[in-house]
Amino acid sequence: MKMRWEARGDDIGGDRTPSCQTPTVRPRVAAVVESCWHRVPGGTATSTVRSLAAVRARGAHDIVGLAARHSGPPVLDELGDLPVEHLHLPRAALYEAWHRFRRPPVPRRVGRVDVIHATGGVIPPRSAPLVVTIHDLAFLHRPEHFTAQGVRFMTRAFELAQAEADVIVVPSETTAADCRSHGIDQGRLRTVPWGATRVELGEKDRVRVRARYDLPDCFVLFLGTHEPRKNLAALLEAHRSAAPDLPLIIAGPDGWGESVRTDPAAAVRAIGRVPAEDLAALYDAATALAYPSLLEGFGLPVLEAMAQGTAAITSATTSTAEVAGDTGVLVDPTDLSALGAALESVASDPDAWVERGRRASQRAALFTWAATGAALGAVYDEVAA
Amino acid sequence: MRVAVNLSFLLPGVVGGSEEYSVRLLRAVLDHHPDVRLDVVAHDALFQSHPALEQNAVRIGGPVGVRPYRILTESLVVPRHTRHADLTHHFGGRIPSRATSPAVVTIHDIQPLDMPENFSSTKTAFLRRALPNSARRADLICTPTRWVADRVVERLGVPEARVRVIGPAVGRRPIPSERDSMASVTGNRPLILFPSVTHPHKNHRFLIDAMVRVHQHRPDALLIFTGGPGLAAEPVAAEIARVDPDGAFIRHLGRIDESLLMGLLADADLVAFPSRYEGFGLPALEAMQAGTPVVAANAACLPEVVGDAGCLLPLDDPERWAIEMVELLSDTDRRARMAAAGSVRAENWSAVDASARLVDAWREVVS
Repeated sequence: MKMRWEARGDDIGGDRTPSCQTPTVRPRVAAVVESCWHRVPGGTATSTVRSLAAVRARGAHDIVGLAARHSGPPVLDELGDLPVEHLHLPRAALYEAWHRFRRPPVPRRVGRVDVIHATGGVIPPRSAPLVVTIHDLAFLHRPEHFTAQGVRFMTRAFELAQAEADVIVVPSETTAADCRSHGIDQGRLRTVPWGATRVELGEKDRVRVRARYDLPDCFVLFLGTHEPRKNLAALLEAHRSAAPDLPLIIAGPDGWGESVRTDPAAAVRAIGRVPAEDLAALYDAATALAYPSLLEGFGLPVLEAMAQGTAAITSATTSTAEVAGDTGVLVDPTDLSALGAALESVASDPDAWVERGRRASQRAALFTWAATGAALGAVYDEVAA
Repeated sequence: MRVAVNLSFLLPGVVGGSEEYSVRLLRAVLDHHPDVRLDVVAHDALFQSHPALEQNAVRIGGPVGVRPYRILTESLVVPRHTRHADLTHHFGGRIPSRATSPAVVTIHDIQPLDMPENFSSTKTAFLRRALPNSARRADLICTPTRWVADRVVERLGVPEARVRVIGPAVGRRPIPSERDSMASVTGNRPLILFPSVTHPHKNHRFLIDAMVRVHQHRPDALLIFTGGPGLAAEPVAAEIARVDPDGAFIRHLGRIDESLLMGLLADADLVAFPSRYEGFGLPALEAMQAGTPVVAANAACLPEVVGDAGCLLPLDDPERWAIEMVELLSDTDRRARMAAAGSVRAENWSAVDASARLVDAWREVVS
């Protein structure tokens, strides 16, 4: 039989001492950060890097990022000084090897590991206590919104999480309830909401962003990857019939399955992917955010807009309702007339939306990344013990 | 245990696979079995290329490039330095005529007997006597694969009990993390790689034939050959010039740095192995380690190495190779499945296992 440290193979760097943890040693957490290299990193990547940064800021854990082999830098360049270990396989092969063969083990690459955190998507083999983040179970409810390959992948990931995870972290009660109804015991679930940091804007930022995107005084903002789940088609339809003159700005990268057709006659305009440094001022400039997503695990844009004092028209039927609370206008996202009425209220009574925004920013202050970091750190300690 | 190792047949950088195999295996023994003393007998140039083996070096000078001189020193000089050892291991496939006993020999392959047309008649005539003679005198025979072991038993009439399969001592060679200067050669084109010296049995021309057909369906695909010139260098170059005079879809880069090769192995979409004869085929294993799917001939040891992790094809039909490669280039899912299976299969070979098997074999002979 091989010794544990010997089985790590010959390509390891870093800590070679066998695992014999004393209380003074900080738990070493290997967390998957592969989503930062996705073509469209999305909320998974953003929430992952910010949560991990918040845990690191507390200084009680050693975090090492895990990623596949890449020849270029991450698309979401927010990893900062987080050390990242790249496994030797490219993404598709690594995912397949992990999910099909449950190899290669993480410690072979990174040495001693006390906790492995699958931050959304792929589940590494459980060579140490395993924390799995499940953002949502959209693939079970609306498989038509995903590719067949994507559904297979997520189904396998969910099976592995059910079978092997010590703790399952979810960002909202909505996802927690969904997990419970799909057979995950409450005892394994921990709800760790995400956070948002209010960006203090100067007049210069406001002027620059307003000019850069040629923003009108009063407008509704949609922000998100253009994919069916975000329900953009319904928003455009409701806009066309209820408030065609209300300016609607569509921001976010093209995803798949849906490309935005903007009608030059209507007041709809797509501005594509917005760089991170413009986001806060864009939220700030908007009168309201429209985020009628059919299903979300959290809905970070809703919280980020709230942090900048902009309230949201969003879904009553998914996690965004938890985030917006009574500051937003909550509608059934499939009810076009309700969606239309909400848009109309922006055009007819913008002052009421200023008041909503004030309350929204107060509510957003309850969600901080520091709190996320504390809660996630507690989960790591719980499973590492 | 004190083991004398005869590497006097090796000219660094010339024999390719067997140098890599021998040196890595011996380094693994030094790394994992400090109780074994190795006295390596070799030409000075070898120690310059592989300083790790220098510990108890016995250096041989003289005009090492001259084959008759090498054969003569093996018989006259090597035995003088091996008599104090518990055993002598000859890594060159041959036990010199006056060697001390006990003696272990590594036979990498018996290609000169199986494919005499690829060698000079002098060499074939010499080995036709020397190989069976060495096999008869060896206390144990080591081979890199079961396939070579079976050939040795069949062809040289050695009892199975005297043969041990010692796989290569593979570690994972580092893969450069950034795409380097190779990107300018390959661009973002789908890449098929065949890393191999242009010897006739490597079968470059078969792959060129298949690639001409691939090109009709996938004009964006690029076939890259790497490796130094072998006995078929001229006909291979002529064939490339004939089918692709502008270098539009086939490039021969010649011998390249190890790090560039590892980068290419990892970046390639497919690694193709049309060889008719291989004793092991280390680059196939390295491609599997790097997560690159392998398409290989259903010949020699390749099925043993690649197994069900790769795509094994008969060598009678270049059209079938072309169809299979075109399909694979467009099927990312299948490539990912093959890559994953390959990387898992590659774990069957390791430096720890290989060196342990070799040391066990030595102990068996000494006891």
